[in-house]
Amino acid sequence: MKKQLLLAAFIILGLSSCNNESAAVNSVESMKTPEMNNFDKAFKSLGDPQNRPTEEEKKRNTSELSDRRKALLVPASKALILSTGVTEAELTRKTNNDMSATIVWATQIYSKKTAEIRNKAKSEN
Amino acid sequence: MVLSAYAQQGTFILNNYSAYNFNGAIVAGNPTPTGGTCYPLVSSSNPNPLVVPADSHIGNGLALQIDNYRDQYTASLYPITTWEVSTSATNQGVLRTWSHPAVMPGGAVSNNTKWGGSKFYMTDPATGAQVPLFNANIAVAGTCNTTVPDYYTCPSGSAEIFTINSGTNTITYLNIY
Repeated sequence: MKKQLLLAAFIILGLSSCNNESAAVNSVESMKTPEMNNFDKAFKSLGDPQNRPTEEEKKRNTSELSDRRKALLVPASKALILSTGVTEAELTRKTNNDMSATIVWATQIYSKKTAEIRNKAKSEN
Repeated sequence: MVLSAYAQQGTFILNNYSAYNFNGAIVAGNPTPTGGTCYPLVSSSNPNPLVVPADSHIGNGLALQIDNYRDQYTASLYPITTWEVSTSATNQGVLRTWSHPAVMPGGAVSNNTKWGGSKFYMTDPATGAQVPLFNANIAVAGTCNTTVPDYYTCPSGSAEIFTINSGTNTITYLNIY
């Protein structure tokens, strides 16, 4: 009987820890802004057949993402930056319309927002 | 999760968009080698393998993200306890805990390495079985690497490693689709 109780307690522990984890994941998914969603989709789309590196791109002696593929990330990156209250003028001034600068800035914003959501979820649990 | 300016190694992000678990090691090396060597070389050592579960990416907040060798231990969802550091042909595979001075931000190893690649295999999260052909060595092109490709594809999926560089910031992505 004691054994069964212990077993039940462990099962409940196991279940509840799983629940917490999925709650944290769900909250990141559900609390993401539309701009974050689009940024994520843009990144994932790099794996779509038409967006994969071409033979020519593979032959370059650099791993820097090609301009063709960077361009796929720029619209969602810009939208994410602007959604934080940054103005078009500021965006242009800071990035000089450079694709890499825009994507790196957006990635920093994205990481910060995800960390905030995760911390919030943690403190609520 | 601020992308640090002091660690020259830059930020590493692993997005596992696939339905399989990533198992492997991640490696950093000297981006401007002298005499054809990549030293110093740094590789994740513990846990071995480093596991990033299926469907773990920036989109759901479960990506592996490393800003530097030290701070990842407290900031990452997949903390690396020990790094294996090789500084020359005669000084190989020294194990360094994440908090060891040798791998501090601003130290010689941090300042002279950039994210370079990974050796990995994918497993089925339900059975633990290896996914046929879905295993590879993958590394950024150029620098001291002349043989390992930066793109891999097989019937079960594909993987690529690429960088986005802007000024002093370099983000290295390992994406698995």
